[in-house]
Amino acid sequence: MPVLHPEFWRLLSPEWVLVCFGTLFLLLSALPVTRGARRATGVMALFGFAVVLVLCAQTLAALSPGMHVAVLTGLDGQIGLTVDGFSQVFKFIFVLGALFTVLMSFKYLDVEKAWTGEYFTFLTFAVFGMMVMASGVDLLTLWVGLETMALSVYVLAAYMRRQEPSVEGATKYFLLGAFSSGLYLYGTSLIYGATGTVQLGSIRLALLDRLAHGGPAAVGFPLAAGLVILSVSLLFKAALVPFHWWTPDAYEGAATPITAFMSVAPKAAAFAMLLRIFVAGFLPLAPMWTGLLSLVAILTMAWGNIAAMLQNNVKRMLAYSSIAHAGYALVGLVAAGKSQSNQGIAAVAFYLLVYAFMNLGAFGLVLYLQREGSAGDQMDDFDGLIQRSPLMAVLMIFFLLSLGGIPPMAGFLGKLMIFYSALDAHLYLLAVVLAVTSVISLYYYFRVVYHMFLKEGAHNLPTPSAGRPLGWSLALCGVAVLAIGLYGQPFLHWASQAVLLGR
Amino acid sequence: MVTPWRRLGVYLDLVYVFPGTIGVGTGLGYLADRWLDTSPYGTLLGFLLGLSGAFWYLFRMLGIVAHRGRRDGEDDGS
Repeated sequence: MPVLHPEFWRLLSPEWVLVCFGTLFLLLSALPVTRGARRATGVMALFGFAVVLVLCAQTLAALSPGMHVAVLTGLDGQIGLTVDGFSQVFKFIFVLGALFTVLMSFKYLDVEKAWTGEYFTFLTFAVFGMMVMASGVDLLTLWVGLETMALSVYVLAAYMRRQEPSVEGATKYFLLGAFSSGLYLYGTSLIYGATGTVQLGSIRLALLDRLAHGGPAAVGFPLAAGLVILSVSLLFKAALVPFHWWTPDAYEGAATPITAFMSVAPKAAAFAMLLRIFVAGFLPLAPMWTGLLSLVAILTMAWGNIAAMLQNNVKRMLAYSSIAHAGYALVGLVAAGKSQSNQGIAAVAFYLLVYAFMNLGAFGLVLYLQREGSAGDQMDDFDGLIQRSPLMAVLMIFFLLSLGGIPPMAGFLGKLMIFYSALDAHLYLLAVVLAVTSVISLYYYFRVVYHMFLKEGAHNLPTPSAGRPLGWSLALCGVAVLAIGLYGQPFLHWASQAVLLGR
Repeated sequence: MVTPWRRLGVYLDLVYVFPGTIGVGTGLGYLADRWLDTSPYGTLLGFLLGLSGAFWYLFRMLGIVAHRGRRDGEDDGS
């Protein structure tokens, strides 16, 4: 029988509360009710995610620094699921992303008249999958989390099923995702064949043993190939070059709140999994994978920024920008592997938190400009926004400055932490590419500013309306981006609890 | 009007192009390893790039299929 920790239910309270809410939404979606009643499901989702956020914070506060609690142990005595500072920090980011997505969804679902209970069900189950991805410590548990998340997000990407771009983007995402998931299992089978285990701690011990007895040559091709194949799947989920093609199409086609969600939470979950697998499991092979991932990081930062410069659709531009930001976060991961310290991990966690606020805010502004018959995602939709809605134009500047890494916004601090971790690990080339590509990114972020401030909008354009939930979410994101930038210490301390290594 | 056989051809392409791209990438990586004595990094990088190429082909093919489907739909007047 699998062994549960005596405090299993308390330690995993965010997960089971989330599952209860998800199941409730599923049952409610079967009821033939009015749109007003469907809206109540949204309010319940908001409440549910707020409760889970508090539970995550509570569990994190109850853990002492560096503590790892095995909450689920398998038949073979190997730990499958753990609760530690790392998992709790990442869970917090996922739930925060979902909470803001729900807030932003009210306007979208109203305008599109697309209220259904399933929307919130899949959102909830996607977050549940992400939590397993952050807590899993064996390759198969992680895969279960990955698939729970991915299947829910495929459905959400195709939510506007009567709109062709939505279906096309979601189909591409699904088919490529299914292939990458198969690759993950193939990689896992090769690793299992080579090491005799799928548990990350045991894989690490097996690797140390091999290296101690036979040196690097003892690693063997099957194990190295298994790791590369496994990485491909995760590079795909995190939308890193050269596995990023699905991103612009899927982001452009999906409902804007879902695009915002996809660009933040699943990406953070993929990074949690990448960190867990590479740093907790494959650290002895760091000299091998840091080289490979450095190349991926350089390509991602360069290609994401260059491609974003060519876009006229703001959603596509933000999609490419999200690819570039994944490249920045990857620098932190490589730094963690190279210097074998927790600094890079904390930098990634902090960056992903900051990125959640600034990117959700930017997508929220696209949503603000949405009206019946127009998605509000063209560059021209931003023309003369300063005259139509000065407050929103200023908020957009906050988000764009933050995305570009300009002080005193939070994005600057996020990039600075990544930059320092790269310097600390002597990754000078990565640090230089990060700095140069950040400067390049200013071009396309300031293009939006140019449209908002210097271009005259059409006279017959109506003043957009935010609605209370979207207005609140934009205001909160704006405050967070400024507050973290001006006083980041508590947030840096929070991120430093994401510890995977013993020192 | 696109016949079902022609449409099938697009999917059949995938059967050999997908694994073929991975094979070519890995093979080139292997040759690079032998030439530069960098084993196994060249092979692994070639394998990764081959996989990337295979995925790109799949992605491109899905786009072609979607556009053909849309064009056929317009032809049918539906």
